[in-house]
Amino acid sequence: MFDGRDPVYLQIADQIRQDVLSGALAAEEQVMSTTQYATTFRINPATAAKAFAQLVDEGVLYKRRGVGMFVAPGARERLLADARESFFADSVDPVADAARVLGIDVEDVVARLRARTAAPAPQGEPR
Amino acid sequence: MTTTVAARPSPTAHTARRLGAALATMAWIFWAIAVVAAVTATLVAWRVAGSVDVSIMVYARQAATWFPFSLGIMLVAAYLRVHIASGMTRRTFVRAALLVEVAAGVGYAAVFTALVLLERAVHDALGWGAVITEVQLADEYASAGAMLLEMSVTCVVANLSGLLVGAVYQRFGAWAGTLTLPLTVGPLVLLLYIPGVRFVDLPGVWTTTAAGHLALAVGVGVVLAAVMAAVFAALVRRLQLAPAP
Amino acid sequence: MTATTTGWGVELHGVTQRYGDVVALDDVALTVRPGTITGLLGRNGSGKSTLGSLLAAFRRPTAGRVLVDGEDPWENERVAPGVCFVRESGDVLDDYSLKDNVAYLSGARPHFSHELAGELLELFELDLKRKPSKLSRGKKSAFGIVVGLASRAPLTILDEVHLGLDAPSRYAFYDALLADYAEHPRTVVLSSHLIDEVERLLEDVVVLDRGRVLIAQDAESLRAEGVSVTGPTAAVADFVAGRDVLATQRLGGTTQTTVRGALVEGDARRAREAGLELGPVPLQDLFVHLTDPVRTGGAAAHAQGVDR
Repeated sequence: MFDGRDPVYLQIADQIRQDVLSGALAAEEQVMSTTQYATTFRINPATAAKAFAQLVDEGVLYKRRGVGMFVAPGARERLLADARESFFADSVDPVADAARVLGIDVEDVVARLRARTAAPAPQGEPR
Repeated sequence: MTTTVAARPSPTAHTARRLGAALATMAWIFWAIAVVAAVTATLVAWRVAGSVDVSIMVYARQAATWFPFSLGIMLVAAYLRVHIASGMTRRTFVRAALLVEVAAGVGYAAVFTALVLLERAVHDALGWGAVITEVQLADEYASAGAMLLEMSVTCVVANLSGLLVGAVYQRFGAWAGTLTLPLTVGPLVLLLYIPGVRFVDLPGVWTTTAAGHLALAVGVGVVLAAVMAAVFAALVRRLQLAPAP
Repeated sequence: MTATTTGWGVELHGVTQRYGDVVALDDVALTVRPGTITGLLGRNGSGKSTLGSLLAAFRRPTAGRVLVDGEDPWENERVAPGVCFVRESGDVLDDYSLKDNVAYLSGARPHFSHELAGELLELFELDLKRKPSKLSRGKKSAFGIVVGLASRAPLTILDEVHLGLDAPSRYAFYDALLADYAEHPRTVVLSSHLIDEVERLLEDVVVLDRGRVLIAQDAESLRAEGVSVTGPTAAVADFVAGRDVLATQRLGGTTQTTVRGALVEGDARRAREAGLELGPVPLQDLFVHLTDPVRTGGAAAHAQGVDR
């Protein structure tokens, strides 16, 4: 876990964002403490703290003094809005680029998207 | 940062207690063996000669000097490194070691004197003599005070000599430690044999009376002890621990 | 009662340590930030243990100044109880039981935790009645860990304390270290050859190479500095031109080059357009490349190095 290209704290932040997006972490739900994070994933507590600080800045988490970190109300909605904004740039544009390189007709891509969307929603991806 | 633990002993007292306990264990063993040996020798002599008119116990003098001397070497070798690694300074080790070794010297002398007196009482009760023939400052029927004083000085110097040898070995290694033995052990040898000068008719104030011998031995001993303690402290205070022991 | 500490910082100014002709540390300037877990990495003989010896006042440097919490630690009654240096050999009472050892230590260390000592002794299955001289290498190391952690010293230096430990025991050590560090923050200097295992524990990294500081920075940015570039040889050569190349491997027409230096904006796009793949470089690889004697030009000198 956490061995991608990005700094570990970014990966931790990403994972918490994903959990909030997927609903695994609900609004007002407490997230693990830095200490728990550090010992569970065997990372330096400062690394976990850095991820939390970033999420607090983004308004995904908030701190209750002496209690811990909680998911901010409306965090999921805000993350969804952000994700929607970057969806075309991050996900659709590369598909279009790849289709052009491979000589795949854009109508075939659209057809595939329609078929995929009509199929039952995929189960949550294993983490 | 503030330290909240008030009950912690001073580093000197802490290590002194550890060293003291180690020496006490060895002292029990040593004196038990010494007493058994003296009693055995007395019994054998009695069976052979019918009566024992000399003090046997007094022959423990050499052993009671050299055995704690060797423990002094051991104290430095075994405890100094651990004392420093446990977060204490060389300064407090020096204090603890000197404190314990002076106390041990006086303790050995006290036990020695008590055993000689006890032996003398037994001999008196049996109608035997208890002449002291071992080279000894105190006279043939030395007073308890003279014996205690002379033996204390000798034992303390022996212990300090042990510390000194240990410190030189630790600081400068085996070669230097061995080559400097005349310097580190010499004072002790000198002191052990000063009392012998009363058997040699040498001119000078110190060959005249028993009190003169006593004063000489004690005086020389105290000066030697002070010098040895100072050298030991200076050696240890600058001692660097080996990179990998 | 527990005294909370934030840990002590360390500063070295122009520190040189010689052992006869061998220069173990060569004019070292270094800062260890208080309260961090700082990894001290280096090949054998790079000066790691000597550095620990100086911080714990086992030795005094040949030249230069060592400061622990702002003061020279040598014969310093305030600083000494707060610096705990545990080396592989273990500086304990070899012929006394572990119980006696714990009693001696606890009287010398102001923040010693009997509770933690008890937990760790149990964790590593150490018998209190045994003597260190009778322990296996692994158990001896484990007792060193007990000494190092239970002392809760504001500056704790753990030098290769994992040697002889099997993998489960090592992970138990990492977990215990993190858990106690999180609750009782202090400065921990951790030296280890198992970089893959410890890199995530580290906030800062110091790399020593033949007595000199090669790297001293935070682990996150150091990791970000290593990039592997893979693709057609010509395109790779083009992309890495002007960069600090650490290593190059070639297989047919494909080349993988490891470079040091963070990527700047546009690099990722340029790489994609050139058909190159960018990948992370494990800290371990980065370390191996950076301390390569051929690269740092000291193969002969290094071969003579002694493990200090």
